[in-house]
Amino acid sequence: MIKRLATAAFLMSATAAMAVNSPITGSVQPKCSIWTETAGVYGHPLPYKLTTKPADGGVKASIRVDIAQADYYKTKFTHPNSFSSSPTLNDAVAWTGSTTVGQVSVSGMSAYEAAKVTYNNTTEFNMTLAGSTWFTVESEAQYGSTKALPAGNYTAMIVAECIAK
Amino acid sequence: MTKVLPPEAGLEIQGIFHKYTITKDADANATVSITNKNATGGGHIYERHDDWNQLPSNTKIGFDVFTPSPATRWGEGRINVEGDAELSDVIVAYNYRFDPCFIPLSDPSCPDYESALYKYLTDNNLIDNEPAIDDPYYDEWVKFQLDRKAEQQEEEAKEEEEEEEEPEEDRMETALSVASKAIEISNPMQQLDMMSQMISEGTLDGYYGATIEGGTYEDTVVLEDTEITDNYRALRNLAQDKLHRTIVRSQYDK
Repeated sequence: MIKRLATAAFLMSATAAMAVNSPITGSVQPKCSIWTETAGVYGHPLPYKLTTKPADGGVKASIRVDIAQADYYKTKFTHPNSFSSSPTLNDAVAWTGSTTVGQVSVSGMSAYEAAKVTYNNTTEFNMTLAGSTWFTVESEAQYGSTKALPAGNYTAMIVAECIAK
Repeated sequence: MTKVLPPEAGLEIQGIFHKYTITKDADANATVSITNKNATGGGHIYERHDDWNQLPSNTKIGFDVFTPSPATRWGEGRINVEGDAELSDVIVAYNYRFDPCFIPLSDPSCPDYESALYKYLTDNNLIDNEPAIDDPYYDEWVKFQLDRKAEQQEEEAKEEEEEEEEPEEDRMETALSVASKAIEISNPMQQLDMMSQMISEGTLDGYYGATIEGGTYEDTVVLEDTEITDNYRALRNLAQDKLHRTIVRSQYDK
């Protein structure tokens, strides 16, 4: 009787061992990161205009993109076409803007500017080299043709994305 | 490089930062080179060549990190452009680290300071000779001599102490040697042998052969009659003893 029980227990344990799950783990570290080095500031040269142009008292936004692995990513910058917060506006706002390559950490990145693709208020760059690239984003808002903007605080968002190719 | 880097010994270069703006036509060819001569050998200790062929104008920022190497190996540095381009707003900065104990004698808190000082005094024959008052290590020499004297005195005191301790140690050794023979001594046969040995040598003759002269020994203590009072304190103690005994017994006599 004892022998039978022992055999049964052995068979059960053998069956359990065959069902063991062996996990494989891994972690993915980001190879593309985006940093705001200089936040943009709107200057107010005319009653109806807000602009980031330094000549008009504004500050252009500077965004750095670090690429650890070359030729795997593209970056996309969307300059604003609306305010994320502002006083109530009763008229249309005309938006303009641009994104350009600023400083580079590798001379070859200088070619990004000529190869960029622009559509609507979006600019795409093909990140073919590893290293850091500084992008400069400009924005300008003109209210109701030439209508004075209501007093208050205005905020607009630049959207910067890193997309795997 | 002495004009760029601090003059302190023990400096090590571990990185170079550069920033420059290149102005050129996009279809022109140009190469920007940043170099440092090798001061202790031929060639360059650092070289960077940025290829700007067929590229538009821009500002470049870079930081190269490398294994730290002594600043003494770093010779003249320069940045130049070859080709149809111009450089402006150029910054080349060296990132270095400094070991304050590179010369151990520079700071008494350096780990090898004492051995370095001893070597200095030995090399300059100053162990037993007083240096000039303007010697940079005169104060250290005085301290060294004081320490040396203190050590000598300590050693002498130690030696004297050891000499004094020696007889006591001998006594202890003798006692210990006797103690180890206790078993032998307690043996009755051994004792008999010892007694017979002592008798045969006449050691006990002095005791057995002693003659005590006869006579009268007068009492020298005289007790005068007087009244002896009871010792109440003793009685009180006895009463307390009895009480204590009763208390103790009460634990068992149930």
